[in-house]
Amino acid sequence: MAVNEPSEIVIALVGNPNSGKTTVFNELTGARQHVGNWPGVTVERKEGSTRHKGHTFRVVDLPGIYSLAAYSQEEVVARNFLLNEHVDAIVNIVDASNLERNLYLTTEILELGIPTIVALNMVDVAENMGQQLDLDRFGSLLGAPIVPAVAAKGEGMSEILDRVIETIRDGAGFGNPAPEMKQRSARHTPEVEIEVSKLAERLRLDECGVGPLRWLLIRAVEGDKDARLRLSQCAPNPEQALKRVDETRRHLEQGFGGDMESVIANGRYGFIGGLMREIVTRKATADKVAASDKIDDILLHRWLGIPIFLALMWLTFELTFTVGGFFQHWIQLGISALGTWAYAALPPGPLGSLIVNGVIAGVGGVIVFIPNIAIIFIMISLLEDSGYMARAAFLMDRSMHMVGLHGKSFIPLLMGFGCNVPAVMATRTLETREDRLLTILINPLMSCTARLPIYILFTGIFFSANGAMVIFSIYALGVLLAVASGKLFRRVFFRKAASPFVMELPPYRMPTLRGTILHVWERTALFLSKAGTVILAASIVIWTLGSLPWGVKFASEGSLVGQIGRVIEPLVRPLGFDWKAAVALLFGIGAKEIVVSTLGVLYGGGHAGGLQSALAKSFTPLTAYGFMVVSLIYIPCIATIAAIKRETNSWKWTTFAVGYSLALAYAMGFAVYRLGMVVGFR
Amino acid sequence: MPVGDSQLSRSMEDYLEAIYNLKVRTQFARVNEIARAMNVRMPSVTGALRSLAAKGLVKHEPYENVELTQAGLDRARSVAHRHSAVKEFLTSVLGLAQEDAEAEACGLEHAIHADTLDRLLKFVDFARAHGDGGSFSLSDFRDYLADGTDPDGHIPSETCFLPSTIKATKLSELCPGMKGRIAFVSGQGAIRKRLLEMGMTTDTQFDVVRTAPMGDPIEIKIRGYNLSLRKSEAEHVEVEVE
Amino acid sequence: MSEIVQWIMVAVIVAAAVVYLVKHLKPSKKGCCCSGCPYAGSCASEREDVGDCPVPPDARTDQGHE
Repeated sequence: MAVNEPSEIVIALVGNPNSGKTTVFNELTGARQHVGNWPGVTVERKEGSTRHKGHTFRVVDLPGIYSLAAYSQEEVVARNFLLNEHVDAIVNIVDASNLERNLYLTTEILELGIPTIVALNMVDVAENMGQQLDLDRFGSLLGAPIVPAVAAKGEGMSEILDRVIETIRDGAGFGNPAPEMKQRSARHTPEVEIEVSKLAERLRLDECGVGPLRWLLIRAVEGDKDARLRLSQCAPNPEQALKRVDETRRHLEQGFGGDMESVIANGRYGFIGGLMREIVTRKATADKVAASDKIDDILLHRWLGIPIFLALMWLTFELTFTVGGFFQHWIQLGISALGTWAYAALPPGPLGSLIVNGVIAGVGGVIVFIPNIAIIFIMISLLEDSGYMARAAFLMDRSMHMVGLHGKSFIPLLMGFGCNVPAVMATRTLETREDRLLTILINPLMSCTARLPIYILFTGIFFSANGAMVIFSIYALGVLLAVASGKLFRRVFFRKAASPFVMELPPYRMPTLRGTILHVWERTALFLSKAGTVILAASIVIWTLGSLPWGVKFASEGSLVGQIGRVIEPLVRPLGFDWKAAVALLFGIGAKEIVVSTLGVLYGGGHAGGLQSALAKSFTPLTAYGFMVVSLIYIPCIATIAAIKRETNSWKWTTFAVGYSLALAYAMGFAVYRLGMVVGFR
Repeated sequence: MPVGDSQLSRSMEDYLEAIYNLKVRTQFARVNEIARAMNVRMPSVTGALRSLAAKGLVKHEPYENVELTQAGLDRARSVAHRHSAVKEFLTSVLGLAQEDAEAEACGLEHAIHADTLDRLLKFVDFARAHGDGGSFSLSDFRDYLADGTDPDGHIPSETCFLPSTIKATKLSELCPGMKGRIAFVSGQGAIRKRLLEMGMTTDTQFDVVRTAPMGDPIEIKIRGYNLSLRKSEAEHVEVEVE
Repeated sequence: MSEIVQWIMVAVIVAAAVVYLVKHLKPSKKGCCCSGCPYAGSCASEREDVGDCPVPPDARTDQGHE
């Protein structure tokens, strides 16, 4: 299958979760895709491109999968891509320090009939463990070239591309072992091979759609629904064909005395075992997992585990509030100074007002929180990259199970603390639609980073003494409400059994300084660009509404925005808010940061200390807390709503999600305000 | 007769046990192997299988391998545990030779009640722990039966306990620190496939590393990596303890 | 700077802002993982010409195994 100078070579990256696949992708394409080491980080395929030795490569990163059996969403995505789309070569990323399990997928990939090269990643770790492999023998036994790599350091990348070019050109990489190896390396037992050939003859098929027939038949005999479907679509007599498949299956099961699934799995692992014996010239001595185990002895300790987890969460908030606050103060001074200067420098009139009361007040109001956001990014990044997140899921599974959720839901929910959009998408790791829907519905209650400026703003004014605790309480409230809602939904809507929990606990990794800084820098830069665009535009629009009809006192009740506010105000008065707060919440639907910039514009943030002092007059500690609670819960931002619609593919559920959040927000805001007054707060 | 949902004759129980042992050792139980193990002819086996199937304990199509249903598996396992407990008592406490103990156990095991068995198991463990080299009185043992105090008067804070007489059982029963080999994976569907793919195939070695703070999920080391799974999932994995 | 000039500048800026917001709030074609949300951090390599976002298969019909 040699290709003559194709215009573009399409390669697909396939491998287990935690094998470093996305790192390879980033290195090859120069992209900055998010790398995390738990399932669900890559739920969609990602594409990028690169040029090498005169060829253009289109690189597709597929979700991490353990097999091509198509039980989970990611497996379906990966498999469909490999079968339906045009792929010139597969680069199978294999974790060298975890060979056996990784090779399971490899054996399946090699049956697809697509040229494959194996990128043996993390060879440095394997070497540290003392393992040595005979790579040539490895390649010839497997029937595919092996390229060692250390993706984290960028090593091996060009070799991978070189081999891809060679392999396609030479028509190799189909998993055909060298002749002398054949007897010892049959992946499936001879009986299976024979029966499958007989089946093919009986069906009188030479091919069936995409993919090699043999692969399809083996899968169909195994019981793979999708394979059976495809078979029935191309066989001249579908019923007959499926009957024959079932006969073959029964015949094989009889012969082995066991079911097909075990037979096949045993066969593959048996092959792998044999392969390992031939290629491992020195076995690993230092157990890489041992160091991680020692750390886990503490972090997953029976009594200490959960308290440590809570402490880490609290620490995150503490740092965000205090350390972030320190830098925030300086930026605030800068912005105020800028505002004062601009006010003096610009001539009086609409332009000056626009700049000071619109742009600086609005955008400045949000930019001031960059330190806090950067810090929370750093914390999340460290927790992710080190591998702690999987431990958190392990710790939390029982609790989550008791409230009707799933341990694997924990990770998408935790991602929601960063941004709800990828969190909603990450629910694809859950295997049943019920689990996914449930997790999606409660996801917006996980307080995303965009809401953080709101909390810090109000906490800084009204609760500066216990800032971290207050913010922690808001996040915790979100979690509690999520749990309660989850339980409610589970009982009312979703009674079906939960997905399996089986999950790998990858060894701890030291997050690289370079990686973390790059990570945080990139996200902060994106935040700045969002500030420079969406938030800027929104602030300008709000200023306009606040200045028209011209001549009216800026942002007073007479202005357009004031009139809008007057209409909504009755709705929020029972919660203790005034019309400006209502308008801020209204515009916050576009993006939660806009709440803060709107408050900035409406309360006069362009002047030194203007926003803080104005808010201090219009709110009380009680209403401030109520406001934070409402911002926590009420309607997800537009981007999230769009994501929910995409993931559920249902207007019904999307509307429900929106309606529920509004209703719950109102109820909670009301409760906080009224109960607070009863208890004696103001 | 032991109390159970369905009354089973001694020989039916023996068949169940034979099937279970075969599966543990070799993953599959074929009719001719069962015949050999029970020292009977194949038609007897088929007859027995038919009545076991009628009670919902096995799934068997003629000429095919024998599968235990969930109920059958649980029943077979408890029969096997009874057998090994009784045999262990005979050998380590009463000092019988292996072959003699085996023959006696075959007879005794069907007559013993679940509660009696439980006490017997506890006695074997208690005796092993405190009898070899030390000494204990019968009243020490009665105290232990009553509220778990050992001869020195302490109550050990064991939350996970597996009687040492049990050699093959579900993975969910094992305690951290134990190790063994995988015998077979029962059940069906997605979870079974996933377990197999992750490497939990017959004859694979594993160690139980820990359990989560509330006892669930559990973490095992297998094929060089750490895998976590819920107890409810681990129940489908039959293992042999080392 | 005279008032007229100021007014013109303001008008232009405001118009641009409104247009931008309208464009932004309409469903974006820029791939599926780029949500416009910086905290997600996955916009960098998105392709502009990607068509429909793949939807989880069982949102329509059940695929794969149970």
